[in-house]
Amino acid sequence: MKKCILSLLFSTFVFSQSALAYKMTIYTDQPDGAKANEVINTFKRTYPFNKFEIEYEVKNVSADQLNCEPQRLTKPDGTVEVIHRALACNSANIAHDAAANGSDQAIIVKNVSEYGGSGGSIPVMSAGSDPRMMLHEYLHTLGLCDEYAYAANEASFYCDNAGPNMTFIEPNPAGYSSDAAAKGEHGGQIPWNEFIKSSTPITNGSAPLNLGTGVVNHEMNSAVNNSQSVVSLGSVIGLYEGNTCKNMNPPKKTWQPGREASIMEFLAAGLGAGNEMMVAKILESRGVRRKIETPAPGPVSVNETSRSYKNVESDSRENSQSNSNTSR
Amino acid sequence: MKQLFILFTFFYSFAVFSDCGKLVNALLKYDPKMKAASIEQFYFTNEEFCDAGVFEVNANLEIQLVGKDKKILNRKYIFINTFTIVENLGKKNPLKFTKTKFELDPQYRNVKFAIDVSPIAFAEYKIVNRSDKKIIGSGEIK
Repeated sequence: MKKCILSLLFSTFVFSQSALAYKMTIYTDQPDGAKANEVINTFKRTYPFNKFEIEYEVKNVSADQLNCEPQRLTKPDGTVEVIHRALACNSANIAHDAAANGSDQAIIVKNVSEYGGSGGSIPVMSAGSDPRMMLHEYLHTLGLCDEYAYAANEASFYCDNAGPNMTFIEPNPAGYSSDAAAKGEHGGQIPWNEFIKSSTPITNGSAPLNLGTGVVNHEMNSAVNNSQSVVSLGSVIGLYEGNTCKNMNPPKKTWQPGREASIMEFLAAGLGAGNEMMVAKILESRGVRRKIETPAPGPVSVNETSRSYKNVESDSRENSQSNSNTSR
Repeated sequence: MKQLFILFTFFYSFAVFSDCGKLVNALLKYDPKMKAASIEQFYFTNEEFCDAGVFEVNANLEIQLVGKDKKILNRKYIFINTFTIVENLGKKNPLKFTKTKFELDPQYRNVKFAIDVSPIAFAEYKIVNRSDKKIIGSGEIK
């Protein structure tokens, strides 16, 4: 009877979990869907996506349905240059199909050999690109900012938009009397503030202190993380000065959560601990459910005489005590 | 212990959800050039759905579903991109970004609602920009 009830509850639990999974649909005109499947495998093994209930599906569509085209640039002499490496799509068709089919997120893999992509509400990449390109573009969909330096003309457009991984703080020119004073003044301007340990300073130097845990090291990449927890290699989460808006006139200071370069700067890099935490927080707030992980069962032995279960590690203790029945 | 754990997670999985009902897929469109938004289409379903995403941490829009009596029946705070970033990768190093261009293309997102009333109870929707509290879109719910 107990087994029946448990089986019923467990099967209902499993069913309810799959009905509530976040659905990501990859639309592609690549006939064999190879790159789309590479993208899925990349998401499945990358922390923190590997901790969430995400259902992936691949939908093959025609090039016309995708409605993507390379960027075209009209030069001063009137000629048109086709920038194959840059991809953008008119996503209305795909958006309607995704909504009609209850997909939470549509993404597009366009069958062109050149490499590039675009980040927006529906991220796009070319089949010729590394699958990590889709990780980068999807992080834009979640609101994360680029961490590489923009050219001056792009910086003037972009550098008014902070994000979960980037903030604009002009340091107090007089400096800070203490780290606590700096945290009091600027804590509310740091989206990842809750993930900065109390023991991690957001200042440096001697009084008056300068703002910043440090400066981003663009020569060192965050480790790619295929584990089941936040990346442990690398510097602590703090307030690190980046260079995204350095070419703006006048230059604007930007701050990021990690010292090492992340995938928002270089595709070869991992997300970095700070971005991992922020992405997990965003996914949870979007209602994406975490996978339920049952604890691994301990070693057991079955005493056929008394029909009870006990942990073998407690044998030596129980030998000197009376037998006790433990229900599992 | 294992049975207790399974029982706990079963009930907990429902306890964490604050909004449950029938699933509605609403196709949201944001036009960055006009700074206006609209719901292009509502897809009402009979699927049971519990919405644990009514307040996204970086939400920039509020979507209200309003009843015939002008009362707000459903409300969600969501994030939608306000532009497209078109990015080139290098020919010599295809893991490195070389050029970026911003486009004010229309943005689309499927926003899910859990409704516990009949669809005919809904009259209109409103979309509010959270930064300035201005209504940037509204329309009938059909």
